[in-house]
Amino acid sequence: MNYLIKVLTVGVVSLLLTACNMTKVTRMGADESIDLSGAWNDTDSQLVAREMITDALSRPWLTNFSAHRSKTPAVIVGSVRNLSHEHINVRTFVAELERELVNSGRVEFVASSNDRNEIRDERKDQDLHASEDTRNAAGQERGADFMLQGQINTIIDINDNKQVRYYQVDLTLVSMADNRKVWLGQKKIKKLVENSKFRY
Amino acid sequence: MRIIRYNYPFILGVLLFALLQGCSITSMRVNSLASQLESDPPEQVLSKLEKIAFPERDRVQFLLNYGILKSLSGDFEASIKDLQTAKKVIQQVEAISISENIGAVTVNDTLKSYVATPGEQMLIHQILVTNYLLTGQLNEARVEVLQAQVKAKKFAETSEMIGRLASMEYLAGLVYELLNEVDSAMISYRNAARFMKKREMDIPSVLQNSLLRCSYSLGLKNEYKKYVKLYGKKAERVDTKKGELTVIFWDGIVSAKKQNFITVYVPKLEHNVTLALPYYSDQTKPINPLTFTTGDKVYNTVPIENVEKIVREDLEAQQKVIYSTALARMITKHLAIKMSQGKNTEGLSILLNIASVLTEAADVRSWNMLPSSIQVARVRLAPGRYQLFPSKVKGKIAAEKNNLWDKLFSITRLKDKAEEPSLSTSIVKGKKLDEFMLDIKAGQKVLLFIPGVTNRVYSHYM
Repeated sequence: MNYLIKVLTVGVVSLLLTACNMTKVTRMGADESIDLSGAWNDTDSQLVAREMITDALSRPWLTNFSAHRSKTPAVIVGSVRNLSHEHINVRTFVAELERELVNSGRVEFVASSNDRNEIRDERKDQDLHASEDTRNAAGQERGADFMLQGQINTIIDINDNKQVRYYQVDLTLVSMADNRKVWLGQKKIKKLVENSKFRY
Repeated sequence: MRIIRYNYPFILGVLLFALLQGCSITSMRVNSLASQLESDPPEQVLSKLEKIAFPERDRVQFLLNYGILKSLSGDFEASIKDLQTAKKVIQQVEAISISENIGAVTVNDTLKSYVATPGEQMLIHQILVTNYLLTGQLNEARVEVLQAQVKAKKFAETSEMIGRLASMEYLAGLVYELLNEVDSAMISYRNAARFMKKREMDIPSVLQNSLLRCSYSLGLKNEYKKYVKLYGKKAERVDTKKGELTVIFWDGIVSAKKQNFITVYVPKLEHNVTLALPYYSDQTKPINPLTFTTGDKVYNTVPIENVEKIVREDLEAQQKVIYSTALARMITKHLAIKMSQGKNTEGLSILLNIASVLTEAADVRSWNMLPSSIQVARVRLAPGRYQLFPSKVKGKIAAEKNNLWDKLFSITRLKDKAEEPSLSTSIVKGKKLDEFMLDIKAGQKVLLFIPGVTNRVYSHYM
């Protein structure tokens, strides 16, 4: 009889437990690093952008350009293609790159083609509606000297419940004047992801 | 005291019975809705499905059905969201749950979380590829192709063919070709041909042409010669003055799982032995091609995947686990009844015997709103305007559903579009087959998605 009660109890308890679902929210700092699934995350995006831009700004192309042209170079971020196994939000990565470039103070940064259209519309609007002393004239835009392009690639090796995720981010800085590649940056990230075989 | 001893198991039994009746009723309702898709618009079926409350363990099944119904309705962005969520949940529930397995061994298999079968998991990627292509997100479609390859590698650890879909490989080839990655496309087309051969399906002309074209363009002379000899034709010359039309046609609705229920009174054991197992009917649904015309020529879509076959293969692969769990459950229930067959517990013994019969249920959950076959066509057309599906051609597939709901739906969608123009790219309003006009330009690539059950065409001009 005791055995019977135990069997029934286990059955019902397991039924009830499988139906349990609780949501818990904990606030945390935006720069805290947490890896949940092993996929590309905000920390990867921030780290890669920071390290690659730091590397780019420490290379000779910057001093060479300033020495020859006597001005700080203007850079524009072109396309960064996601060729990886994951749906990476490339826009946040590009935004990180832009932020690092602008905040370095060592290069000037021009708006991307999408942003430019909005600004041009506003300028046209100013022509009609703004007072003469506050109006900004057309044809005064700063042209970019270099374009930053890149791609994110991955190689995934999988065995049973283990995965090795290898990310390679390649960025290239191309001179707008003559298509020369003045800087090639590469950042690699490798992660071992182990998924539990069991759960409660 | 005796009353308490009787009441405790009785209450547990009633509780179990009530909960399990809920499970089987949910499965029956979902299966019934899937069959309604043959006659009702997907929006109507979706709204009914959304009203069904489901236990957390069935979340994957519901997300998959929401996703496919949204695809059928042309809401590709919402479909992407549901199917991506389903992928995440599958990753979590793939780990073996101790509590759910105890439930399966003591009560029945429906207490386990629903994890999509390998074939279904590959079809998630495939539908996502289609959704991304139809919303112009080619790079995201490529991501799904790569994810499907990782998944296939994982499935290959247990079996060569489980979860290996020719249709997925064909779509992968298409995506790679659109991105000018012909070498990768070649590998995918080769895989597609290999899987079709293994499943004893004829290699359709559309795949033959892809193999010929890619091997020729990559300069794989020996392989190209082999295909020329095998298929008796040469690679078509790429005519830049023509456009290319690709048609993805989903035919019908896949069969739903059924339950084989056997209960026998065994005199030696002095109680009933009950067994419930899932099965698919031996009779698969017929494959009906879609016919379209360009005026002077008539084309048919060709099957690249028989989903009916895939779901049966998946169930076959699960049989060992299903049988061993059923056996363990029979023993557990037998022991429980035996223990109750002591003195002064005759009533309890009868109650448990009844409970063991009533709680036995086969797990008939599946992604039951999938098409029964996936078909394709790829043709080169001179620039111009074509009515591909004039009325007499349309009759080849399911009868048109011109009901009140369809009319109401059209009005709602138009209103949405007027109020929120930004949504126009995410919700694509399908045209009825006979109203659809194709305008193709030289060098242009056009993708048509035609779910047969809706009688609608969704198009994307690339």
